[in-house]
Amino acid sequence: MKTKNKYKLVCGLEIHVELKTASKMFCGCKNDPFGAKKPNIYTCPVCLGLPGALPVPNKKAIEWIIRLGLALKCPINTFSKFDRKHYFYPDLAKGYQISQYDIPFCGPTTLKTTEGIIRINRIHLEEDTGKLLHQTVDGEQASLVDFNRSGVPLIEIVSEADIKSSKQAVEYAKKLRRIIRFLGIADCDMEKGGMRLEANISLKKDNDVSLPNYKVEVKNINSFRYMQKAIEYEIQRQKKILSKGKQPIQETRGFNPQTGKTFSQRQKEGAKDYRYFPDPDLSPIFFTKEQIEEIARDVPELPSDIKKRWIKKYGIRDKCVDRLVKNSEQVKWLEKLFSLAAKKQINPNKLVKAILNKKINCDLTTSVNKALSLFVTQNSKKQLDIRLLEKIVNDVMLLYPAQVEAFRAGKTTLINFFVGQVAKKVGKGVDIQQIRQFFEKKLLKKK
Amino acid sequence: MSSQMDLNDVEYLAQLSKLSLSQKQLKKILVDLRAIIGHMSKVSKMKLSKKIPRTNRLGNEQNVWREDVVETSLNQEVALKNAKRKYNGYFVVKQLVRKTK
Amino acid sequence: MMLMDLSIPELSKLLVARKISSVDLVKESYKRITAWDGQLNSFISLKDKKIAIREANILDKNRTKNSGALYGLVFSMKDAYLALGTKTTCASNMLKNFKSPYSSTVYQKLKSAGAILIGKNNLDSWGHGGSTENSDFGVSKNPWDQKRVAGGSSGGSAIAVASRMVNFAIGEDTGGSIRNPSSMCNISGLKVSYGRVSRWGTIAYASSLDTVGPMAKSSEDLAYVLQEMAGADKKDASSAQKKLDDYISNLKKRIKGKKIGLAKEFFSKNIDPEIEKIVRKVAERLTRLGAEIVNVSIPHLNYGISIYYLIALSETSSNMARYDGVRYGNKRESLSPETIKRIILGTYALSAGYADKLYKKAQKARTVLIDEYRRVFKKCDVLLAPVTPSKPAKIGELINDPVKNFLEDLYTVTVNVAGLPSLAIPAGFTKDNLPIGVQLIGERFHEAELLNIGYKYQQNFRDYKKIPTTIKN
Repeated sequence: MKTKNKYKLVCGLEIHVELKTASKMFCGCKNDPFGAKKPNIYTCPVCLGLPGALPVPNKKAIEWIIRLGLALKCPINTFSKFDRKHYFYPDLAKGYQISQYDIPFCGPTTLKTTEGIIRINRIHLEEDTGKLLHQTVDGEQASLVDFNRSGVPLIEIVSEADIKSSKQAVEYAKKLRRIIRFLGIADCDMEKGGMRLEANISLKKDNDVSLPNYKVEVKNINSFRYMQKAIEYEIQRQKKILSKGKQPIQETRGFNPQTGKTFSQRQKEGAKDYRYFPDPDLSPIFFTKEQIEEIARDVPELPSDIKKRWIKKYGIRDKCVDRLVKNSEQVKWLEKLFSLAAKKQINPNKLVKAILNKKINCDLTTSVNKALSLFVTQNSKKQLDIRLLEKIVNDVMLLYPAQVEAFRAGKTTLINFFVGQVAKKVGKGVDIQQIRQFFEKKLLKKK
Repeated sequence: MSSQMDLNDVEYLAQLSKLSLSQKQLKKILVDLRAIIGHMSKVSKMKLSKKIPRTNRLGNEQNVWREDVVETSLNQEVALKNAKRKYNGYFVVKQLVRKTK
Repeated sequence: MMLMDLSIPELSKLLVARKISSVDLVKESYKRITAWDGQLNSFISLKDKKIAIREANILDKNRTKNSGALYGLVFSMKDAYLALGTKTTCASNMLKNFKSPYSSTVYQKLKSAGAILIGKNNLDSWGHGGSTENSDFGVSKNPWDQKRVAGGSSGGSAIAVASRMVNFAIGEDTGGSIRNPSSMCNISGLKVSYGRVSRWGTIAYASSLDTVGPMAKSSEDLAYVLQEMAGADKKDASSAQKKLDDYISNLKKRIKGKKIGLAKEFFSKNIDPEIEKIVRKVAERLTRLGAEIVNVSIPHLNYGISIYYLIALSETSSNMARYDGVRYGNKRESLSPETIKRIILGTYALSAGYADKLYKKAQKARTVLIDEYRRVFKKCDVLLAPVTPSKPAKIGELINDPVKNFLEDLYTVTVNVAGLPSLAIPAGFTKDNLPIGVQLIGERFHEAELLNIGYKYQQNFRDYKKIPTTIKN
């Protein structure tokens, strides 16, 4: 019986990312919940939800979410607004969260993964909640509340249920993290809660056209590995239930990294009815086309585009690029380095290798000229003695006269063959560039 | 909820509003609600064209925002001074029963 | 003659000339409060007299020729405004012990103008009511007839002015809460245009309707207070950037040729004939001052109660969500039955399945009402209207009749729905000697025009000077 292929994963991700603005979303309190030395020191009437306090939005946070939207090629809503989302929880100061309901800043887009395209439904801006700590106080189990995180700007990226495997989920989330980090708008530190994953998981039969009529929400996953495990575990768990002819309960579950299992979190009492309505304290946000274009000017070329371009322009190998492209300043510096290297006919992949092995520091304060000459001197140490090289080259030329003829007749690609032969004889660690140049000279001289 | 509000409806709305009320209180509220709701719902009878926009606020201004500048926060003592229960700089609430492992 | 009977500019002149001192004012204020507040219940909290005198002393010492009009005057605020050093209860057991951790913008502005806050006034808790009966700190009583309500929700503030305990007071108007008690206590009260005065530090009832306004004896005094308290505030994203008018110098403009609109919907079948008579008398008096009367119509005014309550209660159910007893305050069940009822109604109007035909429909109807007012102001400069359909009710009458309680607000609420300014001024008395006010409603940000007409009226008709004989001394 091939039960393994009987069910297909239907999965969507909701990803929350804290923006790294200096101040909070609706007040001037410092946005540094993780760096705070004490609880409740970055709070004010607004983020504590004191009576009479009013929110005023952080312009930079709005510009940043639009920057992200533009980078991901989302349509930007030139008219947008903030709404109140109501529910009660001790870490939610006002009894409502300021979020966006029907008009998010960024509309639908897609993101490519190796297993296919994932549709992103929307990206919106909201405020983070405070933090709860469960502890015994005076012999009683209690929850301690810290509002340092309350009101930190948070973006939520909601995907459609297009994810077909746990691996794809990880690839998608990693790709997003890379882009967000590259834009310089968030650190996405998962351990600090700067990026939080939530997976909606259900299964459907292979031949079912419609979506399943239930979904299990696994919340507060704080690593990619755990997410993969949680999804895998859910697939197995739900498969078991479904194969008995039953349907998994629609619920919220948590993931326990120790056991590798998900567990049921008791459903919130009562029904969920968020009673969204536009926040009357906040003005709507209008952007003109020109304003959007201005923000677009700040959007750097994305890692995937840089990668394509560098492969084409400099011949840099695919794998290396991924590890280099961290932020746009570094990209600018590397761009200069590679174009200079190209002029000097230095093998870019060797250069990349030297950078990755930390033989050359990718220090943005030193000039690329310096970095490059350092690279050249480092490599020249391994250069062969000229006389030895001449001898070996002569030997090779004598061994392959036909190829020498062919080269001189114009089949210049044979150069690689000669270089290879020489390299074989002198062993590893030799400067291929040196051999190549030497060979070229030699072959052309005799012409 | 049916057209005529009943006790279950009031109980549900109270729950949604995080108010734990006695049956007696709920019944009293139900009586008042039944009396008022007709007057309050009068707009639902207005014939309004779909084109009419909704007014959800009155400020004329748009794009009212602040620059991303850090301002002084309340000090911890002030932030906590009105709290009934506090501990080591935290607010304290009864443990929330959430997990059933 | 009391100092408290004098107008703000009169007092200011005497103070600058050092003929009287702020200490004199403070002493008289406490004398009045000691004499009458026990009966009337205007205040929830009072500043220690010694502290107030010390403050007055410092102000007296530092007074210069250039000191502003409010410098060294005595005022009180509805207990919905946060002010450092005071408790702010909003007349609810929920906040019985709440010490203000910061100050409202309006308090900061008045304080820096040199005004002395001596106490916080009673109200219907959270603004939920129109009679100051829904207070966990006791019912406030009308100085003109202590068996009757003072109006509300800013009832305590109206009493403080009417019984000459303070020079002026700060009220808050969401659906009539300044105008209603002003009318019932024979004082002048200004509901400002939405956004004209910062709401920062004002405990919210309904965010899109709440306005902060002055209450005083006359339009002239209101102009002096408004001048200090109005203006944009970067802490309130809904405050208007629009430039302030010079309310004081505008007072004396000629009003000849002003078109005063009378909308027939303001004279519905519910109106007490005595009140209608007084309003029409005011109209006639205004024509004697050179104004013209224009008949107009606001067809959807009768939907006002429904539109207003759907919006106000939806918003209040949201604004009240923060009171969970964790960071401050007591548990939610400490809210009064009236407030609990309003929260539940608001939750209902916003809940799934009902939001479309209730809350969202009300927002559309709000647009309609705004347009109707806009059209009316093409035909007239200001509207003249009654404030309430009935004279001050007997205590207990309204709170026990929830429907009547709601319907009493018909003439005031649509002004908030449209965000317009409205000035309530004393207009006359019923046969049983109860004060009746009228309101002048203007275009958005036309406060100066309203105060101008009010001033000219009060220069000629002096009902506003009357105080109950029972509390004269």
